[in-house]
Amino acid sequence: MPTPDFPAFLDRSLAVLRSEAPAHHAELAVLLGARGLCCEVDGRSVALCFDGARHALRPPDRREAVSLCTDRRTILDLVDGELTLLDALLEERLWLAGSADAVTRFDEALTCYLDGAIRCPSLPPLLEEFRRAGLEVTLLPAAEAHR
Amino acid sequence: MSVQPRVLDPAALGSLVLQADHWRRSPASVGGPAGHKEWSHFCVFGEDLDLLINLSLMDGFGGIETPRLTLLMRESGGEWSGDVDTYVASELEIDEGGVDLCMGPNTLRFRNGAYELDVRLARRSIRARLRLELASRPALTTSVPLSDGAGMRWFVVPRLVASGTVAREGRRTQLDRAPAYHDHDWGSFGWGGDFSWEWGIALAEGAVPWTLVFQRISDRGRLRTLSQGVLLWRGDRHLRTLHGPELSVRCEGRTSAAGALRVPRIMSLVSPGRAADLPRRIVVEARRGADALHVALELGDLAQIAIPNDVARGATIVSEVRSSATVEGVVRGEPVRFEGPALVELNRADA
Repeated sequence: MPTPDFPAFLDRSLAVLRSEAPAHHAELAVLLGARGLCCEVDGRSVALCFDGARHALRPPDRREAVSLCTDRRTILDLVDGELTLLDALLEERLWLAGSADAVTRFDEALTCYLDGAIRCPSLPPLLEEFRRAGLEVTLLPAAEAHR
Repeated sequence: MSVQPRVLDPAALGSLVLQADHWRRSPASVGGPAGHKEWSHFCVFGEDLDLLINLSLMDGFGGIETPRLTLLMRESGGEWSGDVDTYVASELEIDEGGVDLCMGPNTLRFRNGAYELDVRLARRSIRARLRLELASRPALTTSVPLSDGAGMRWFVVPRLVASGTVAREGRRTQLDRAPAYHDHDWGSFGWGGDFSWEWGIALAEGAVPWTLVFQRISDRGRLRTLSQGVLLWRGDRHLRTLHGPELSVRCEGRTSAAGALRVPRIMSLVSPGRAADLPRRIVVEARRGADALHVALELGDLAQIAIPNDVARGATIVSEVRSSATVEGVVRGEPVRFEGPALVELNRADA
């Protein structure tokens, strides 16, 4: 199985959301719309946008309403309650760029995504896969050293 | 007169447990309405640590029955640890109409008049292996109204004695006949509905093993009480229930939830708010005829369990508060006076 990087995790989690929490997926489509969001995680960028009710991932083209930059460790620390969103921003572990309206809308979209995600029975295994892949990535340099 | 906790005739009580403490399961699985909630709840008060173990089956979004283990541990210094693990339906095994359950690697069994629990967290180093022997007679309550016609029933074994081991982070603690409590609750309702509750148990440490349960269910704004009661056991026998207008309840002060453990941990991101209407002290005055009880519950440190609401966005926050109880009064002509550890649970929807 390929290592689930952030774009793969995001794509699969949105598919789960559409299937198991469709009202949240529909609201997310309205909040993010066609301009969408650019996510850069561990140096890899992807744009999330909606065409009507359907989500799509594509290469960013700088037209996204909001840009987010972070890393897998910060995402997992947020998920594990080790870090608050505010602290992530203040400690510059998470960057957000966009107009005030767009950032406010992103906050609503994130809340909607999370509120739906916690109601999806299929999401915990997906998150665990994302977490384990992070451990593999972290361990790789040490494994390389033993060769 | 000293009344030692004793282990009752396992065969006689075992049949009562098997008749009443079985898993009801959601009717949604056979085409019935969704909304079923059910949990089997154990609290253990050890010398060095307390445990709260809750195995639940709840209809989630779309009526999908979701198995969960909640395991909270409190060290004697007041530090809480634990988590909530969610399982998928294929990891759940329940004998039809039985008490026994397997949920992933976790098991609950009822054998020879005792509950046997073996539970561990997937991502935290906590494992409890316990045998809980009945030290009181079980009781089955009538339906407790919540709101909008919804109701909940519960089966209770107010006092047990728990023995076994708790392993965490490389340390092992042996429990030897520690006082414990068990209930099993079930009903059809939606989290986030128009209800809230205060519930507490107190187990006496003195010569007479008194056990007290307090419950009050209110509307969400806590402006209207739907039901309230105090149940008192002396040793293994139920002595008195005082309820409804026989009780006067007042809450004093405020307990802060700032910095408290909230599980599952992702809920700190989803529902980060810490403002909460949690009292510092709950005082219950209960009276019927010559029977009178004064109950004071002093609330201390706490952990919170966050449950996604069914009827709205947001979450219901259930605060589990380690407390101490002081109970005084006269019931059936006998003086009642004891102090002991207590656990108070406060249910508040946050949105």
